[in-house]
Parts: sequence; structure tokens; C-alpha cells
Amino acid sequence: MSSSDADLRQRIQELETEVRHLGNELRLTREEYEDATSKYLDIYCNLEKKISERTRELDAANGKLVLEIEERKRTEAEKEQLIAQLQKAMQEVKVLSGFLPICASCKKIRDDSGYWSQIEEYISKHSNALFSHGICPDCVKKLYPDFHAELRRRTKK
Amino acid sequence: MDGAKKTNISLAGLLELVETSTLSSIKGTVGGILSLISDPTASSSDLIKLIELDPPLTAKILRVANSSYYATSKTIGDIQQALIWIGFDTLKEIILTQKMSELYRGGTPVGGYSRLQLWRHSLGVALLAKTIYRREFGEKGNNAYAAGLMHDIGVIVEDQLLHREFMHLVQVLEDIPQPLTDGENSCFGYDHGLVGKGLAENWNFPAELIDGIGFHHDPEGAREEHRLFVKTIFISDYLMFEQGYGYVAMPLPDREILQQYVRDLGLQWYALRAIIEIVREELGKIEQKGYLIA
Ligand SMILES: [Fe+2]
Ligand SMILES: [Fe+2]
Repeated sequence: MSSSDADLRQRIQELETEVRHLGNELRLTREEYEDATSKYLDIYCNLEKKISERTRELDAANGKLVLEIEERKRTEAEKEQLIAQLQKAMQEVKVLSGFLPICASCKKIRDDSGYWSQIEEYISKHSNALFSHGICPDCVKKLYPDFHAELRRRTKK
Repeated sequence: MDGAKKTNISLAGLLELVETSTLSSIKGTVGGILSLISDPTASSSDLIKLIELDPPLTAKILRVANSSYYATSKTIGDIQQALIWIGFDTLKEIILTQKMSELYRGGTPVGGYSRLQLWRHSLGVALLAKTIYRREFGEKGNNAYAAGLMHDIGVIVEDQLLHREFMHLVQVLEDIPQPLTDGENSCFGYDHGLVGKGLAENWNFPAELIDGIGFHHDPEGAREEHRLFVKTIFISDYLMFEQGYGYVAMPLPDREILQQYVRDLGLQWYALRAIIEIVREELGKIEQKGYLIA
């Protein structure tokens, strides 16, 4: 075998090795590429799952929020009603507060429009108070002296 | 040995020291990534969970993933994108490489030794072992990369924790040429293979890796089922030293042992030479792009 034969043979061996090496490299690279693709799909699916989980969470949170808003509206309405009642009560209280112009002699009270009304009429109109009429001992003495004397005599016995 | 004083710290004592030293800071992430590498059913979400436990890691991964070394056409903005564009396996390698590189920072060169040289050597052995697996055996060789990267972890443990004694030892090796393991044995009573093996066992590394680290200078000592794997690490270690990627001045073991292991693995020298060329090119690229420096 000549030396150029040996050279040629060696060159062929080297080329065969290179082909084999590159073949292995190519196959492994292809496998890694496929692996990366499946990993990509993994990640993508995970992402999808995460998004749908998140959406569910948001839906639940949203439902809760709607309930809360309704609850809040209801208490707000109740509060408004209460405030209205209070305001009304306040107005009524206000009518009977402050200065009441009253006649020093006949005790009639003057209202905002300048009309003089009996004290019981005025108070009945501006409050929930009701009047039950009676007569005090001083007035009995003044208006019915005889009845008054008779009354005294009886209670002394 | 001549000129070196014996240290009185035992192997067990040294391994205990490791647990309380800064070396142990890489334990969680490295342990996690190694089990992901050796578990074929591991999913990308396992990897993402692991990365999330180590916040500064994300930025480092993205920096490497976007470096011109990987030269993807797209800017990689998060781990998901990194997974898609540079792949699951490469990403695991980047993480392991980043975490391991943390151990090799600093230090001053003494004699023929420096941490940077040791790191270059480790990267070279990792790439060579992996490329042999890929090109010759047609397998991914992720474990071979990990074992190559970590095989001399015992050396960095000695450098970090028995610093004075170790620096003295590398100085002595300059004057009295002998294999590093011989020097270690007379100086410490154990060598970096044993130290690495102890650490790998304590940190629950996969069995193949424990043997790869523990027996890289003595593959026949490894379990039968891991022997070819360990021989690949031995060959890669030997060849990287020969190629100028050593880290300490020392005579290499008898070349006949190397020849024997090459035959055991069914490798042809012209095929190995072609692989060495690829690795040299790759290492050159790594050094040029500055990815080498931790
Ligand atoms: Fe070693
Ligand atoms: Fe080594």
C-alpha cells in the first residue's frame, strides 16, 4: 500500500467521522428543537390555564362586588329615609323652638303670617301635642266664687 | 512530603467546614439543577420554580442568554423566552455554570495555579466530555457536562478552606514535580477527589455525578455501571491538561492509561482530535465573549 493510499484512507476515515459526528449533532439538535417546541406549548397552555383561572377569579370578585354595591345602595336608601325622617322631626322641633310672640294679656300667639291664634290652636297645629281642657283652682275662684266656697267647705270636713 | 507541613484537619472536619462556609450558598440551586438534569421527566415549570427561589439568578441567566455567545435574533426578556429560544438543556447548563462560577471568584495566582485557570480547566473538561457524548455516543451528555464542570470541586474547597496549606502545596509542586493527588495525600491525608466525593454525597448529588467527581483520577474505583462515564471525564481531564487548559504544574499520568481508556470507550484518535478542535474553538469563543469570567 503506497503512502498516498494510506493518506487517502485516513482522509476517508476523517470524513466518515465528520459525517457521523454531524449526523449525531443534527439529530440531537432536532430533538432539542422539538423539546423546545413542546416546552413552548407547555408554557402557552399554562398561560391559557392561568388566564382562565384569573378570569374565573375576576368573575367571582365581580359578582361579590355587584352584591356589595346592591347592599350599599340598600343601606344608602335606608339612611336617606332615616335622614328624611330626622329632617322632618327637626323641622317640627324647630317650629316650637326659638321665640314665640305671645300676647301678654290674652296669651294668643302670633304666627309667621301675623295671625293671632289661641295658644292651644297654635300648639296643636305645630306639634303632636293634644289638649284636654280642665280648669285650675285659681280660675275656679275667680270665675265661680260660690262653687269655690262650697268646694272649700267640703274638703275641710 | 518534602517541604509541606501536614495539616491536622480531617476529611470529615473539612466537609463540616464546607457546610458553614460561603461555599454552601450554592448548595440549594446546584442540587436542584443537578436533579433536574438527571431527571428526564423534569418539566420547564420545575426549572422556573427553582430559578424563582434564587432571585439574582434570573438577571444573570438573561445576561448570558442575551450575550453574543448565544446570538439569538431576539432579545430574551424572561425565563420563558429563554426556555424557548435557547432550550431547556442549555438553560440548565447556564444555571449550573453561573452558580459554580461563584466559587471561583477572587484569589491570587500562586505558582502555576489560579482560580481562573481552574475555572477555564473545568469549563474545558465539561465541554469536552459533553461533546464526546454528543458526537461519538449520540447522547445529550448533560450529566457529562455537569461532571466535567464539577469534577475538581474538591480543589476549590481546599483553596477556599485550607487556603494557606493549599497555596503552599501548589508552590511545592513547582519545585518538586509530582501529581497533585500525591501532594494532597502527603499534605492533607486525602485528595481533591475524596473531598469532592464527600461533598457530592453530603449534597445528595446523583450517583453518576458522585462517581464522576470522586473517581476522575481513578475510574476503576467507580461503580461498574458508571465506569465508562467516569473514564470519559478522565480522558477529558487528561486531554485538557495536555491542550494547555491545566491549572497547576504537574506531570500527567502514564499515557498508556489514557490510551487504554480511549480503547475502552471505543473511541478513535482521529475522532477525538476532531472533537478537541471543536472544543478549542468553543472555548476560544467563550473567552473572547467574556462569558468565562464569573
Ligand atoms: Fe482533578
Ligand atoms: Fe481536572
